[in-house]
Amino acid sequence: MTRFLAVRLLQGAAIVLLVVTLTFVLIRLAPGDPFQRMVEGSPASPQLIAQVRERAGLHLPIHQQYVRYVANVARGDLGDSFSERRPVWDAIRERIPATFVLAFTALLIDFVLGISTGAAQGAHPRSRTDDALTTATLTLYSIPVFWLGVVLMLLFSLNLGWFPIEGSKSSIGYDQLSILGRILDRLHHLILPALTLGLVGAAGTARYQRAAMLDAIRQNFVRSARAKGLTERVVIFRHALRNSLLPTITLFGLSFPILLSGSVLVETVFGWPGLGRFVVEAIENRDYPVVTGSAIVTATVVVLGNLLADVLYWVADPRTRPETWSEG
Amino acid sequence: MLHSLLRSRRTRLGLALVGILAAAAILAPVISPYGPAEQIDLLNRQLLSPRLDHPFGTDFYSRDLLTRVLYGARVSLTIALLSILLSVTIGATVGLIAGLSGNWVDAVLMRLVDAALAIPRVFLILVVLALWERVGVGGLITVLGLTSWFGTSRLVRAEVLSLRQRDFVTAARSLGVGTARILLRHLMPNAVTPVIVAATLGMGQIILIEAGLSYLGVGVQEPTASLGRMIRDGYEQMTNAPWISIFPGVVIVLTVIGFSLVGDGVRESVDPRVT
Repeated sequence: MTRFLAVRLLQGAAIVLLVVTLTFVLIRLAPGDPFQRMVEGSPASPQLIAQVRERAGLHLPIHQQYVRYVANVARGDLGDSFSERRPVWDAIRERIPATFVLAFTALLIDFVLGISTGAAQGAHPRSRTDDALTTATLTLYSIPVFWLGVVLMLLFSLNLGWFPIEGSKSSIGYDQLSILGRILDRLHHLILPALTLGLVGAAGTARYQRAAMLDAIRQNFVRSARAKGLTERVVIFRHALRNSLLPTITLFGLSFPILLSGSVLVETVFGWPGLGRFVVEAIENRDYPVVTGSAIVTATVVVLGNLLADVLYWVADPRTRPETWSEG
Repeated sequence: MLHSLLRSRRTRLGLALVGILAAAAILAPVISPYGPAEQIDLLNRQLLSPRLDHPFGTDFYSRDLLTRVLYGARVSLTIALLSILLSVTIGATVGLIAGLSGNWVDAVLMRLVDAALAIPRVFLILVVLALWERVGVGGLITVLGLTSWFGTSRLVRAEVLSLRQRDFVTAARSLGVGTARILLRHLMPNAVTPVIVAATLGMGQIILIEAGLSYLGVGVQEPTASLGRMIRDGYEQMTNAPWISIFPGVVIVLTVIGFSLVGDGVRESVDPRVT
């Protein structure tokens, strides 16, 4: 286990280093130099600009700039935000909890709904229920996540008035609420955005789980279980479903980038104060260090998510152990 | 293959959806008596709900929304098609090079692809759009194409790795056929199916991503109307004129369903085991 973890951690670190390299290359490829936009239109004197340039190391040869950039990122220094005039990491850190709560709730909805739907379909393939659910998941899978958010908001917030329109908590009277009241208020705000993000994910998960279930049901051990005279219930739940859940662990790792991409849109629709909306605002403010910093942070989260999925797989499936760490 | 493809009812439905929507988009000037930006009657035809002479209603500027949706679909489909062509070309080339070389070149390319796949796609695109600032439609196509080929390159590489072990390639090699010829005549035609599947399914994904970017205001810019851009424009009139945002969304959903059905159909007709 230690060796497996060490190898995987090292691979993850290498990927993060490549991501940092990629953002460095993109910044250097972009037109103009990185500071031109920051000083554009500001009354700063040429001497001051030259000073800032020097401090940022822009006079150094390119390979030294690269080493500096990587060293800074490694120390957690993602540069300074132009619009907030403070380190990018400080600004990003404040937004992470909101995005985490949203993405985690969505992931829960995604997996509970997706796995049960897909498993039900796979247990009785080509039945009427299967066909209906296939159509439903395909439709849901094809819906732009932001448009689903807009439609749900129109229906449940604007027309029916069941849910608040935006934000993660009430803007008025929140401070007067008891602790329980605050939690309920936040949950009330969380439901629609999390449902939007979770539903679209669930459609993908259901499609995947259906295929995994179909695969499991055709295995010999399922036939033996039936031949032994076990009830259909036991065959489906104990034998087929449990085995079909293995590949779904991989899906858990894969769902991180999709969730994070979706959160950019869902947060914008619902005015959710998370990282995604922050990045969109940063683009409007031409504050590119925030955007590159967020990309590095989210990539790191994705790499950690994959690492977690690998570890879960290791725990769940002893068969993969000898090969997994020697595969390299 | 075409025969078995058309046997499935779902695939036929998908082809019909894509066909009808594409035809409607191409024929937009013939179908609609209005122009996409034409302000028909600012006094009497503002924010009309759907009715016979304006099936999708009109917007704040009394523009006919069916016309705008048709022209918007044109923009969205063109962007998706060109981005996919770019992405498939790069993906197939990188995949072929990686799969054929199989040494350090393969290792380096695939680690780079791993890194690119680790950045959530929308964030990667936003980085490029933030650094290059306002890009036009051409720029958007380039950005989408350049950030969408990673998956395809892996598929093609895997296909090449399995194909190069097959007997017909060994046979060709032993007959003294050169690498370039093996590549062109033996590997490419056989690796083409996963590429077609990836491209068809990719069309739907790109349409969704472009719509998302345009909704965020960083994709297609005014006065060009793409479907995502229209949903954004209708957002402010959500309570009194919800149809402005709803119809473009429905068209996006139908288009993406169409491409998904066709993509699934192509895959099933090659490998019936999947479903």
